[in-house]
Amino acid sequence: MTLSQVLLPAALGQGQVLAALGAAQWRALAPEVEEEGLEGLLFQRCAAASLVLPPGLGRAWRISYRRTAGANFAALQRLGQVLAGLEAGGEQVLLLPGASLLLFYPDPGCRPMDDLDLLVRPGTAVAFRAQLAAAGFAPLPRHPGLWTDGELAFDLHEDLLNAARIRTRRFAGWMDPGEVWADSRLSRVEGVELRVMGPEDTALYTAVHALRHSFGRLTWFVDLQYLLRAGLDWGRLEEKARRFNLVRPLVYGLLFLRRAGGWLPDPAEALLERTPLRPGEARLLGRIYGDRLGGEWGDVLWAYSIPSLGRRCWFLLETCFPQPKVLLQVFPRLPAPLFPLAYALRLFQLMGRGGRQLCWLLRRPSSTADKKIL
Amino acid sequence: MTPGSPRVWQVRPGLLYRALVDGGMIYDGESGKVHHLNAAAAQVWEGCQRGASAAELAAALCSRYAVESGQAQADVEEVLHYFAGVRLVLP
Repeated sequence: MTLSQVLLPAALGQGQVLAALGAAQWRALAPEVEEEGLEGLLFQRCAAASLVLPPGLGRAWRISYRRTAGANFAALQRLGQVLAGLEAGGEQVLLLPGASLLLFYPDPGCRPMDDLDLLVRPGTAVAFRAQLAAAGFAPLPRHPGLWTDGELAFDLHEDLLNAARIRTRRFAGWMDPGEVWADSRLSRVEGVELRVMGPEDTALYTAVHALRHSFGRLTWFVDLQYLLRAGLDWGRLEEKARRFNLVRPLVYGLLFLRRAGGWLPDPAEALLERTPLRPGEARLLGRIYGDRLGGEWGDVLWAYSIPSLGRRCWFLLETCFPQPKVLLQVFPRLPAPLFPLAYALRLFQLMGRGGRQLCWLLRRPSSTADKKIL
Repeated sequence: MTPGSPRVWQVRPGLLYRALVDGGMIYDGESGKVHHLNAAAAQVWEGCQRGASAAELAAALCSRYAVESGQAQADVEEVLHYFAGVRLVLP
């Protein structure tokens, strides 16, 4: 059994998986749990199952759990306060995954987040920014959508999947904000009334988000597993996935979930049977799985969703070398007038990353997310 | 406060409480602060929300944890002293 195959069931509440671990296995598991950001969820699961954690580990995980709980709860309450200043505030902003996925978790200490991603209804952005400014928030330099007060951060979006940042991303897949608004629903997230995506949109968004980040966090598969368990309208999900050209990202996410020890309902298995991977795709997916915490191949895999070779190359080129305002975010210390230099820096950065990936291929280190512990 | 007294402390309005697996936390919207409570303190807070007196809070601690009455009263006093000090409860 691999680490992922222990972590996922444990995170989903199968405490007996952890109860069977010996001291050496705990030692192997602990750094991976921290790298995955799963301390809070596992602490909650162990405490709820009255499972005593090894000395030291329990204290560290509890601190992390409490820190996450406090940060998430405070962020949502602050958001509620800001929205209270807007007319029909809860209708104007849609809480994107992951914060909206807190609905599926036992409490807010179980899912760490860097910020709250918000889709702002067209026509409301100006008023919402004014409310944020009045509440002491300001946008970060070069990140006009990222508002912070020094402790909390809200990432404001007016499109989905960052389609405006990388314009050719639309070739690979998209989500229509108008349709997402239409299918959204009001929900109470930690006591704050907010709009959240419908479950099918949430599943698609989660699968694409995980892919774009090369499946780097197991948390996204915990999210996906919760969504599958809660039940999805598979007809609607597949119809949306086809229309938004997101069938392949969904398939990758499901394959990954199954490989990590997750459960798939029958319609998901049927979708996988109907959507065989091409040899290159399968190799790349296996490669990403083997180097999940360090790999950067998500966008390359996503390019398989683009039928035209020319557009595929265009998408990858723009992903590597995006428009100046996006690239200047990657190099925040570079003065804006020197933006052409950012492309040279980017080239060196990519060469460095390419070298690292090549080294991985040659050495195949033993310390990967797929390491066997049992 | 006199330990074991029938006095009831009022929870300050506008505070939000969230139960957690090992206790709870209180969000103070005025200050933006989060106060973390262990399991015993969370039990005291939940009792305060129900309008329980200090004596009732101590009795509830005794019934949940294997502590003597005097120790429970001292613990309740300490927790209420903290709550009052950060204005989570009002006299």
